[in-house]
Amino acid sequence: MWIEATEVAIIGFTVVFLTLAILAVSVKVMSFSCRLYLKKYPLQKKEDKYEV
Amino acid sequence: MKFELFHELLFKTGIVHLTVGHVVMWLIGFLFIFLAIKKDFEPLLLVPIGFSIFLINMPIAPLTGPGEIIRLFFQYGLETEIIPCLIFLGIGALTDFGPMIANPKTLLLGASAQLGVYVAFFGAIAFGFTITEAASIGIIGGADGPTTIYLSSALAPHMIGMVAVAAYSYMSMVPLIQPPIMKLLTTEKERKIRMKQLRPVSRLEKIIYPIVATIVIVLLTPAAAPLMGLFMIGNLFRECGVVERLLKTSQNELLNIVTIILGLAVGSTMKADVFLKPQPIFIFFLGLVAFAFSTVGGILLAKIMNLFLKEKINPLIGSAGVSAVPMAARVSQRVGQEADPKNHLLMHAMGPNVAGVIGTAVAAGMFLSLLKH
Repeated sequence: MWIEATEVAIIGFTVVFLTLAILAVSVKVMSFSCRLYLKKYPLQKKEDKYEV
Repeated sequence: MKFELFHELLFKTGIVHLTVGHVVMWLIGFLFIFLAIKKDFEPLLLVPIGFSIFLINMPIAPLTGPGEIIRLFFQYGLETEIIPCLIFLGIGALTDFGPMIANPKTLLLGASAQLGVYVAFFGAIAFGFTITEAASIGIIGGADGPTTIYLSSALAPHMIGMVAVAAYSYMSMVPLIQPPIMKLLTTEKERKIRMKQLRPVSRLEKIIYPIVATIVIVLLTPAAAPLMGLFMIGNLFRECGVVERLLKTSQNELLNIVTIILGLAVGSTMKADVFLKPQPIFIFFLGLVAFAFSTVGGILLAKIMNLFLKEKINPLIGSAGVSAVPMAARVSQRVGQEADPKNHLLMHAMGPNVAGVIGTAVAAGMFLSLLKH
């Protein structure tokens, strides 16, 4: 049982770390892309619609 | 004839069936209610759990037998794993991922704070629990009630009550358990580290985040999909800004209804004949070990990260990597302000705090993938 437990713990902790590390990188990429997009296509403010 | 009728009637009352065990369980139930009312320890959960413990330890009351009310709550709410998932929907609708999106490094602190889960897992095996029971006990270290219940209902359903009560008890005691460990592991200088104000996060980022997170987490850990999927859809309700009614229902009515059913169902597992054994004492002890090591894991990683980072992070926010949202983040703020009253760590600590919720759900998903056959 100890061998199985060690395997479960090592695999589990590694996957937790990897998942959150990959998520951190994905969030960085997402934020960068969003900022680029917003620079190129700034969101219109709602009140702009009514100024016409 | 009259005497026989009286005898029969007396036998149908609970009085003659009352045992010392029942009374001890009443006292435990009253203790929970006292802690909730007097000390404000997780009252939304401890009041229904406490009353449920008291109620189901009424001898021969038709509550937990087949088809009886509390049994139905347990059967349809917990055994089917619906309630923990619905609670995650509500929590998602209440969670602001902004601080974490602004500083994604803090996700790693949420991962390292799962250390206690695995330490307690080994501890439980050393105490003679089976590997599936050990996983249910270990997950207490994640400080996340719904995840603990979700995992236990799948791997060790007979232990749901004990592990849930241990998890919620320790979650409510975060302000007592964490500060001594935080002070022991950090220097005065480290506690005084001021962190740069977080950048503002756009609405677009907040809307896209639940979709990105679902892709990453569910692809890597499919077993965490029920919890993470509902967590993220709740968050999308919050951020998209066009489903106000669904958002309000998720944050209030739905969350409140499932919390009541959860409390009653969890309390119903604490019957005298099951609870008054040495096992729960071991579980409570291991839960404390799990919590302590999770706190240590978060702080130590923050200190290690400081060796490489230009802009230092205050190691106190590492302890918020145990889920317990937002209490663990508040503890980081409080301990930080004891060292420097003008230091505001709350928003910085919210990053690892919500990362801890994700980390615990992934850890639970991994236990399920590896141990549920």
